[in-house]
Order: sequence, then structure tokens, then C-alpha cells
Amino acid sequence: MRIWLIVLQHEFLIYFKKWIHIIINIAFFLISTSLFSIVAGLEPELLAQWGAGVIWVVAFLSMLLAMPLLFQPDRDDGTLDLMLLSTVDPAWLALAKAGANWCVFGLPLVILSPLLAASYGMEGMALLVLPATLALGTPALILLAAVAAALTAGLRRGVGLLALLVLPLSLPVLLFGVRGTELAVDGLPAGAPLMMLGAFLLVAVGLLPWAAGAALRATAN
Amino acid sequence: MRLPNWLHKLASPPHFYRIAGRIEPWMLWSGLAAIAVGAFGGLLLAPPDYQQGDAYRIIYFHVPAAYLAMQLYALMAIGSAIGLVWRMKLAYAISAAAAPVGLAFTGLALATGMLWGKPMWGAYWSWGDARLTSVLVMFFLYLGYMLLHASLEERSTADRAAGILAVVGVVNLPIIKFSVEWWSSLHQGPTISRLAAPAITWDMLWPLLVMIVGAVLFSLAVTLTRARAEVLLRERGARWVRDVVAVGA
Repeated sequence: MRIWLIVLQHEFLIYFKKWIHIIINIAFFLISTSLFSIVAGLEPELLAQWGAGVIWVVAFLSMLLAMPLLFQPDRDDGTLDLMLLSTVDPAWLALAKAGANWCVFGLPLVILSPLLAASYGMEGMALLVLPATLALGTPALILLAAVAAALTAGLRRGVGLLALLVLPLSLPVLLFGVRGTELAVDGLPAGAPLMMLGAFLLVAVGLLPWAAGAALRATAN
Repeated sequence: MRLPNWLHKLASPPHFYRIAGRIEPWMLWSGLAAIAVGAFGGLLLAPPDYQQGDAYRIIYFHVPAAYLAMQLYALMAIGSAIGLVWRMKLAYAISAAAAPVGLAFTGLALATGMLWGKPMWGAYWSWGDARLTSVLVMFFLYLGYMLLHASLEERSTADRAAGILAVVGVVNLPIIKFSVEWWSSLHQGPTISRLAAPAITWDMLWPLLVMIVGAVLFSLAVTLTRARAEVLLRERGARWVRDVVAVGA
């Protein structure tokens, strides 16, 4: 457990040293979502309908953009091999790394999402439901992406393949996230999709770190 | 848990190569014969449907393809799991051999389904539909497996990494299977699995069953042929391979 905390701390330190990536991630999210609303040129009501899908997909893509940072630098300089040789279970290692990654690249998007939702003309409950769906859904997506990142960590320019591996499996999370927000936009209760997202998250936390840990072991050199 | 002894014996590459080589032609020819009989029965002998007319006849290709798409994924995932747990190299070779065959059948199932969907549902594709989307996800899982396997240079690493992906992707299989029951879907429910009272007349059913048996035999024959080639490639340093190649057997 103590070693686990040290890994977590190490992750945060590294990410804060690379703060520029955090800014890039947020900027990508803001610019891409604005691009959609500008280019589509939709009526206000339609914009609110489209907002959920656009914000969700762009949030996912901007997190994917940061995914190579999860294992690649540590693999390149040998830190990862040392971590795998230590007594820490690789599953816990993957969980710590994915957790830190989400805090740095996922959480800011959750916090900024009400702002974007408002710019997309959403109001009332939707301004709360959208960040709630993101808060439940994005950690599950990060864990899913962590498996793919571990599988492709040894590859040069593996980010394209990473996206190809993650995108099909991420579909249920995206669907329920968007569905919940759309319900809230229409003024309907969004409890059921939120509960589904919570269930996905629990399953993801329970199972995916082991898959990611096994993947780290499998691709270690 | 340990594997039974006969499985260990079969897992020795030269033994597998020999056995598979002996079974494979039988499977191939009986499979092709069954497909020919099934196609004749389905396309010419079976009566037209009272609602769908002759258009329903595409099930004689669609159902076997969709069935095999899932079965081959299961085969690939089970092979990968056996490889990951018991470090059996032959299991990985079979998984790698099954992937392109499964991809082809998934593509065939999607294509025939779309061709059928246009006259019946009025659309080739429907994005909200759970059955269609989950099969498309399986198509991308096959593709991801093959691309990941091809991108990792060292074969043992590629086997293990792609194997983990295949095992994680298994969650998709029950989703495909039950998507028609869990969500309202354009896709019709199962007709032949209700064995007690199949929702299809015998005249239409028998060609379909013959077709499925034929497609299973054919796909296994192709998979075995590919697995034999895969084994030869992987064991190319071994003496038995040199003997095989020298004799030309």
C-alpha cells in the first residue's frame, strides 16, 4: 500500500512537471467543442440536442490524446521495468497510473463541462447531469484505454492503434453517457443511465487493472 | 489445474501438424459438399416465405456467417486464454489462424445482413440498433487483434498482447447474443434455437442446418490449414520442420 502511494505521488509529480500537456489537453477540448458549434451553425434547440454527443466524444478523444503519456515515457527510460520488478502488483501499478492520469486529464474536463454545456444552450438539470455522466464514465474509459496503452506501449506511434483498440469497446460508456445527458436536456429523469455508468465503472475498476497489469507484463522487454 | 494428458500430446507441434493434415481434407470436402446441398435446398427447394417472399433466402448465408463470426471469436479467445494460462504455444497459433477467418465471416454476416435489411427494414443500416452495432464492434475487435499482432515484432509478445485483447473483448459476445432480447431491435429474434418448437417450418429449416454444419466444417478446415502453416512458420528452426519440408509431405 505504501509503495502504491509512492507510485501515485511519482505520477502526479511527473504530470505536474509536464504541465504543458495538461494545458494542451484542456485547450484541445475547448477548441474542438467550439469548432463543432461554430461549423454546424445549428439552431439553439438543435445545438442543445447535439451538445451531449459532441462534448462526450471530444472529451473522450482529448483523453485518448494524452494516453501515450500513461506508460510510454516510463517504458522508454526503463522506470516501468523497475516498477514491474518491484513487489507492487502490476494491477495496482496500472490502477495508480490510470487514477493519476484521470485526475490530471479527465477531471479538468468534468469541471469545465458545465461551462461548455451552457454555451451549447443546455440549462437546468442538464448542467449537472452532463458533468455527472462524465465523472462516472471517463474513469471507466481511462481504465479501458490503460489496457490498450499497456498493449501498445512498446510501439512507435502506437496512438493510432491504441485508438482503434479502445474505440469499439468504449461504445457502451459513450452511449449511456450521451443518453443520460439527452434525457436531462429534455427535462426527463436521467437516473437509469447514471446507474448504468456507475455499474460500468465498478466493473472497470474491478477487472480492467488486472488486464492492464497482465498486458504490462506481456509487453515488458 | 492441469491440462489432460491427451491435450498435451496433441499440443506438440509435429503431432498437431500430422493429425490436422489428416483431418483437414475430410472437413474441407464434406463442408463444401454440405454447403452445396444446403444452398441447393435453400435457394431452390425451400418454399417462399409468406411475408418476405424469396428475399428471406439470404438467411442461408447470413445465419451461418453470423454464427461462425461468434464461434470463431470464442475459439480465438479460448485459444488465447489457454495460451495465457498454460503457456501453450499451439493455442496461440490456432488463435492467430482463426482471426482472419472470423473477420471474413463477420464481414460476410454484416454484408448479407445489410443486403437483407434494405428490402425488409427499408435501410441498409441503423445506428441505434444494438445487434448491428455490437457485431460491428466485433468486426473491429478482430481487426484490432490482427493489427496488434502484426505490429508487435516479437511473436511471443504479440501472442500474449493480442491474446489479452481477445479475452477482454469476450464481454461483447453475450451482448451480441442477447442484444435482440435486451433492447428493442429491428433484428428479428432467434428462430431455430427454440428446439422444442422451432419458429420455422422443417422445409425451410433443414437446408439452414445443413448450411450451418457445412460452414462450420469449412471454416474449421480453413483454420486448420492456416494453423498448420502458422506452426511451420513458428517452428522453422526445428528439425521436424526441416524433415517435413525435405520430404514435401
